[in-house]
Amino acid sequence: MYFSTDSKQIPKAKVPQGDLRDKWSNFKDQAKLISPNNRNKYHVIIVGTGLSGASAAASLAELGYNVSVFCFQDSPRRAHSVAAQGGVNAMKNYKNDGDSVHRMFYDTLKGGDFRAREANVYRLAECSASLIDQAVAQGVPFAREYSGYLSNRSFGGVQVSRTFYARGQTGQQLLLGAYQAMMRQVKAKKVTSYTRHEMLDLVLINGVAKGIIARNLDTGEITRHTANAVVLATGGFGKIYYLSTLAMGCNGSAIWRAHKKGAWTACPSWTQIHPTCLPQSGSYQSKLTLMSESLRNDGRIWVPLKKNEDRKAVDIPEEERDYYLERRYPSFGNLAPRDIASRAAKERIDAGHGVGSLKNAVYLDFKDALAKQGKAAIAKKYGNLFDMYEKITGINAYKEPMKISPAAHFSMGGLWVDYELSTNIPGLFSIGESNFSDHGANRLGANSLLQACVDGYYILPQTLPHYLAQSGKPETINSDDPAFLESELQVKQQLENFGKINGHKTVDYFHRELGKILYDKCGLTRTEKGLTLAIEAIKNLRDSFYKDLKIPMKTDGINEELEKAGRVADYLEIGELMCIDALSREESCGAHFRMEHQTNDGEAIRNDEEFNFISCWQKSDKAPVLIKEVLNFEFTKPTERSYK
Amino acid sequence: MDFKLKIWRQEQAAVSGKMMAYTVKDISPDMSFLEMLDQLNENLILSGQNPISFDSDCREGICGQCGLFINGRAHGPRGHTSTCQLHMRSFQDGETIYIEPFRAGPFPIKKT
Repeated sequence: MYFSTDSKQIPKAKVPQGDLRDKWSNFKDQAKLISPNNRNKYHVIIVGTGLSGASAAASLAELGYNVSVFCFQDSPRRAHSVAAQGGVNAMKNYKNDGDSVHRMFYDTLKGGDFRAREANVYRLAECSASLIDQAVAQGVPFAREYSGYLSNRSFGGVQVSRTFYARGQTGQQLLLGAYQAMMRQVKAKKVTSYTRHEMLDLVLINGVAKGIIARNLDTGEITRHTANAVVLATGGFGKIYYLSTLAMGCNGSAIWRAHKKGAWTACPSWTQIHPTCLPQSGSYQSKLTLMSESLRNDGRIWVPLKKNEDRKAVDIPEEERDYYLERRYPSFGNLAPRDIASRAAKERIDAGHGVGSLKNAVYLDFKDALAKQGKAAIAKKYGNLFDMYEKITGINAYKEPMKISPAAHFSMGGLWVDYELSTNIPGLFSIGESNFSDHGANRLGANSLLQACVDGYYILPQTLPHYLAQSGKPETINSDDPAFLESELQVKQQLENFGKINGHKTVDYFHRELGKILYDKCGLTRTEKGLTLAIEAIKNLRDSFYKDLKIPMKTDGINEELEKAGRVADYLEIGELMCIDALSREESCGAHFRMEHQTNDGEAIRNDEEFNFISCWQKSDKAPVLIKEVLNFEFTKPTERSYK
Repeated sequence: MDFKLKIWRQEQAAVSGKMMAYTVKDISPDMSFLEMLDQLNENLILSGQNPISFDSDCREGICGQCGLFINGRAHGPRGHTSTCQLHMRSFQDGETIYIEPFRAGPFPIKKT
């Protein structure tokens, strides 16, 4: 067996009492507080400075706590939230199209295929309205109507328009807001910013998180940092597929090293493969660029009816085009949710209808929208995306359709957290994409910026002080504690050992091989046989990594290969757990599609009787241990997720 | 495509640097400039040489972390294009390309 099950441990989700609408208020009403003059006595470490980390740092510092933030980039404002394009959801109902907290809650829960906690999802929808007001107050330049009101557009999986946006650069604008709020606290000396630092271990004293070990990426110095609580805001680990929409530095090391110290990882195989990315064009490629889902508001997706079509897109007549999303999902059409749109694309590509030189893409066509609305209107909405497309591909998408393809994008899985965003390790919190919380088995577009902001601005600033208040008087932690010394020693030894292997293959070689295995066997579709093969292949690759890796030896000063080696070493372990997670879940839900569990027309078959739970994985010296958090649907009834 | 590269190599801020010559072969015109350097680095690492250090992160033209001085111009020959969004189709086959770090206060040289 690849894993064992522990049915005695029951995760404590800590969902407050009361009606769904009252739970968050009830929590806030009853949360323990720390008085303003005592907050200065507590120190919080936040790892990661994207939207969730920066917003949490700014908010906690504003409350009076001392905060240290860490990021591997040269500036906190480069965190990959900066690349989010399309928008952020909020149930303002500005369009008068029937939106409400409940509708947004239900859309998100259904979008995630009923594999998330009701109370968490409801809170996300509830807090969404305030976020827009807060961001506007910070100066985030959301798009506006001629009248001056904020504009909305529609994203996949919903039938209302609730997405607020700043052209195709919403993430950058929101991040600048959070970054400025945080830098104000840096100036006020409430936040200390450690740039070009990477967390390499979590330190526990008596089972409680008390600090981290970090490496200065410029000097190679290993340093110990103490705190009364540690927050991981380190984003997702989709870069494990090597080719992904993520930044080169995005990694899973912080959460994985926390996992190795006892934190549960929840549903790690649930990865969103985004349907609208630029297709791979060669083996040298380092990155697949995302084209915002917002393009699907006006672009129509199709493939040629004829297999191995060699005519140009513009030469293929209308009746020989298969608008397969409109055909299969008439009520949502091109705005079907991401998992469904990606799988439908893969189905057509595998059936021989793919386009482009590697036959690995589908068309996203603006012909009709350009004819109806004119070039100026389309340029206003998507101009920067069309420019970006032309820069990368050399093709003018005003004249011919874009070629797009699915690519690894977002990790729904991550560290398990309770309603208070605390992991099972006391004092260790996880926010934003690094946790598993609100999106279930599939995230809806424009809910990621929302979750990062809501976790950082609104939830953590309530729940983390509640933890501190319960943990007694503020204590001073000694960085010479044996736990810190031991952790530091282990980190140093690992770094030195990478250099000593002195084999024949680069880190990128191993990363690319791992990516291929995972994309093939633990990507858009999964089978029992494929996953079993993948687990063995990853084990072999890992053995080979420790025998045949070649990196420059030195551990002091800048050594990018050493940084990458640590990340890929972790990926080689995370990848195996992803496959075990996918193997253990014998149903199809959201982005997790097991070929054995589908209807005759290729739709997912979810199994609520046996798999109505979140899989929490505990580290063990033997096989990983599965602990189940059973989901209770008190206020909704899980239905078949149909977008037909 | 094949290129001759003249790259500014400097071990640290405190030591002096110099231009070094390299060649890269079989480069696809669809490759990004940084992917071309990735390929050079793979070869350097495998032959036991010190790879070239350069910053990059998002590689989609938004984070602002990358930046090379290419043929005497910041980010190379195209306007409104960060280094990561520059592709080899913007160069002539066989061309010699000069690559240097920015010489600007906010971007101090750490290692190249």
